[in-house]
Amino acid sequence: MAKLAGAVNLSIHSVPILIVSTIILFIGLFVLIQNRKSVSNTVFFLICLCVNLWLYGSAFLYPAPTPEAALRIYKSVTFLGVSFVATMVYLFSVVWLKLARSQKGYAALGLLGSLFFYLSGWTNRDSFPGMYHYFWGHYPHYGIVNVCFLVFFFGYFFAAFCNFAIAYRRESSLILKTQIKYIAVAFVISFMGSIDFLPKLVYWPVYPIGYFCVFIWIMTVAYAIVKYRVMDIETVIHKTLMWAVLSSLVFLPIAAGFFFFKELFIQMPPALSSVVGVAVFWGLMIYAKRIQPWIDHFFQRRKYDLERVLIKFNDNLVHLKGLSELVAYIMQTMRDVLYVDKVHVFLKSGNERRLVRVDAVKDGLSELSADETFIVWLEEHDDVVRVDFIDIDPRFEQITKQARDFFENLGIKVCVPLVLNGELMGLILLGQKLNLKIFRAPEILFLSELRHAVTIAFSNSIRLIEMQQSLRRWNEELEEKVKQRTRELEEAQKQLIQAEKLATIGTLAGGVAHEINNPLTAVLTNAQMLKMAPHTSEDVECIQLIEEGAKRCQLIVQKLMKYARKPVEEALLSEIDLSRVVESVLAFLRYQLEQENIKVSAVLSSSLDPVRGIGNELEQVVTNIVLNARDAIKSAKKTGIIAVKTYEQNGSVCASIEDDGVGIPEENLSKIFDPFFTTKDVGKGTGLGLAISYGIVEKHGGRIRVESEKAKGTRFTVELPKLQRAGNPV
Amino acid sequence: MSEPKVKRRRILIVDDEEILTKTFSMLLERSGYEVYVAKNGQDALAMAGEESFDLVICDIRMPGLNGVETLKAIRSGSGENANAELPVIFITGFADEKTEQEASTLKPAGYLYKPFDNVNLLSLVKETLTDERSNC
Repeated sequence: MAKLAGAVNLSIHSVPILIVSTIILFIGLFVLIQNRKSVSNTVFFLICLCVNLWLYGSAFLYPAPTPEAALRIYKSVTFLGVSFVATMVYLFSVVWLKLARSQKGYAALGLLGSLFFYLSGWTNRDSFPGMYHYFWGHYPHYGIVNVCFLVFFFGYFFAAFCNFAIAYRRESSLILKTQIKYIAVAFVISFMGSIDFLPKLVYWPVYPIGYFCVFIWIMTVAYAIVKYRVMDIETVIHKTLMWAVLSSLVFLPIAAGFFFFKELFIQMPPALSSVVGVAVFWGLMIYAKRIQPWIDHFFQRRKYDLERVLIKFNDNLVHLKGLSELVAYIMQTMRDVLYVDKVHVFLKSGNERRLVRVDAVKDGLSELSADETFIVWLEEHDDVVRVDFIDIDPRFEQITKQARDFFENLGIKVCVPLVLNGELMGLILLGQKLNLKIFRAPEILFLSELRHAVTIAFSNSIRLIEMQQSLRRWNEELEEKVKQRTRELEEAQKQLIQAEKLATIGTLAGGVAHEINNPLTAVLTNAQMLKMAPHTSEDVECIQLIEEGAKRCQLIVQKLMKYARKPVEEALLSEIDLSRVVESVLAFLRYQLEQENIKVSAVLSSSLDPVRGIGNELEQVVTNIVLNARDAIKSAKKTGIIAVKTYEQNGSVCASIEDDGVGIPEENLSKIFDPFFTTKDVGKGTGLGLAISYGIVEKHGGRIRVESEKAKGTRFTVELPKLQRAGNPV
Repeated sequence: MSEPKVKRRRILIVDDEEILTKTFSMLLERSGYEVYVAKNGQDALAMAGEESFDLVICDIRMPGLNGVETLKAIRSGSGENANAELPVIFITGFADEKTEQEASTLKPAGYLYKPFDNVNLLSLVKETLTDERSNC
């Protein structure tokens, strides 16, 4: 050490190197004290230390009094830094990019290699075969062993660069990508410093510029640390420390200038020295007035940012209406401002006691119960909670475990409740910061202020959605009502058309009946007259056939006339129990139907309100429909069931007659009530039964409905209005 | 009633339909009645003024005077043949309710819907004329 101390000598060329290496050491230390436990911080510090040793060594190496002294300095100090720096850079890439699992072997090998080359510098003559004079001082020659070292050195540097390049390509987070980019670029710049190795191999008079490249590297890394929060450095950097570092950038060159050129100043004419003095003073003034506030602002930009973000955030909230838009904006703001690894947004679902996750990323829990102890606490206290405070804040005494579990289960660090009028509307949950640091007071304050605006924005958005939903619902209801009314209108119109048609047909039928009646009467009367006189048996048969034909015509005409008749007289109307009407028809027809293997099931209400009508006409209606049902069954199969029901519905008394016969094809449904429409064989039906029934029911103020499915059956429903009594009901 | 021969009952048939008047004439004449035919209300009125009848068989729907109007006019006629109680059988092919109601105020001996059986007509005629005779 005594020898080393004796060898200390400085020249003007050493000054920039000393300044740069001191700054590098400062920055390395600064990074280290931010988080001593962090491996990447430690490794970064070790890189700075290696660079510092290299440069400090160089500063003393060049102006050493003898080549031996210079070699000793190089072997002990400079080469210690040089031999480890590439390995450290590689180690940094491994640690910072979290590649330790797969690459720890190479890292260990690198450290052993560095140690080996460092030690061989002392023990192996082939490491440094000699020294030569170079520009402004002594410089070692690299022997064969150190040529191997250079291969090792570049190999590890290249490996580190590859790690950065691969990580850059794989990384999807924009922030991390930018961080990697800066670091990688910085290391490439520092790699340029290795140009200093050239003169050690061949005589090539290159001025040593390695320190300059390293200076740029360190500044780039520093910039990345500040701007992109590389490594575990809080962005609210301790102002004093940074101020000292930055001011030293300005003051150290000035101080060094004074130190080295003091002779010059002393010899200067007084006028010139006062001009220089004023110039320096003005320079410092400008620094103090202009640059220092800018630097302050630059390093305090975080606080400034938080305020600006809050203002911008509030402004933007006004324009955000959609819930998803709002959630996305909140998440983006949280990520941009606080650099958190995850943001979860939960919102209360309607009136239920649960919170549903609304952010798009679907990992972890998608739902929380609003009755969870901690969430109930949040609703009551309406305060931003960070995990670190749970153990120390007395307010959590009763619920420490629940609160801890809540944070742990969700993997979050901060919980921001959104409470409006004492009711919890939602939660914003923030994960860890990317730099692993805790949330600081200004950030909590920021969140605390932000949440009021967010709460109101969510409330508005939800209300808007609710309003839109109810509007949509009203629209749908209205549409449904319009549709229903349209259907009813169409139905009414159909009935009206049918009624009109039947009325026209009725008039027509009346006319026709009258016209036919006269000749028919003549035919019948004359045939009967002929019958009275003696004839041959053949003649009698002929006359009988004429009479029979005429009688059938008579029947048709009579039915037609009945159909065409106008409303009956009030006097003929009486109170009628529809069940009894149906009962009497069934009593009359049951035997006949059973003979034809048709079962009749009747469910007749015994407590029907009476209707006003003509009993035998209604009987005729029921008879008609039942007989039609029989025909429908018989034309499809041998047996069947006719189900008859009477009941009350919507102020009407109804009788439904359902068969399981052939059914009515849809195209015929609109025609079945038309006179003379029949699908029965010629001579089997007149096609007047349903037309007459329709007329009768209409005359009673009721209606006949028909529903039919082909091959399944048909249901006729006769609806008659309940009798409106003037007095009290009986 | 002093005439030696049993006086044949006189029936006036009023119908615009010729085949019917012919047919009914034949039927009633065969049954021993004296049948007169008017082809509308006007004619019937004229004939009733000249002759006296025991029964009128009258169609309701006719051109010009209808059956009800015709009968009213005949019954309210003055002169020696006037008979305010002249029995009538209305026959109709088709009539609306109003006309039917009006017809019923005239207390007809019968109301037959065309077409009807001969037996019905003959028995109704016989019945009416028997009643009328016993009333006399």
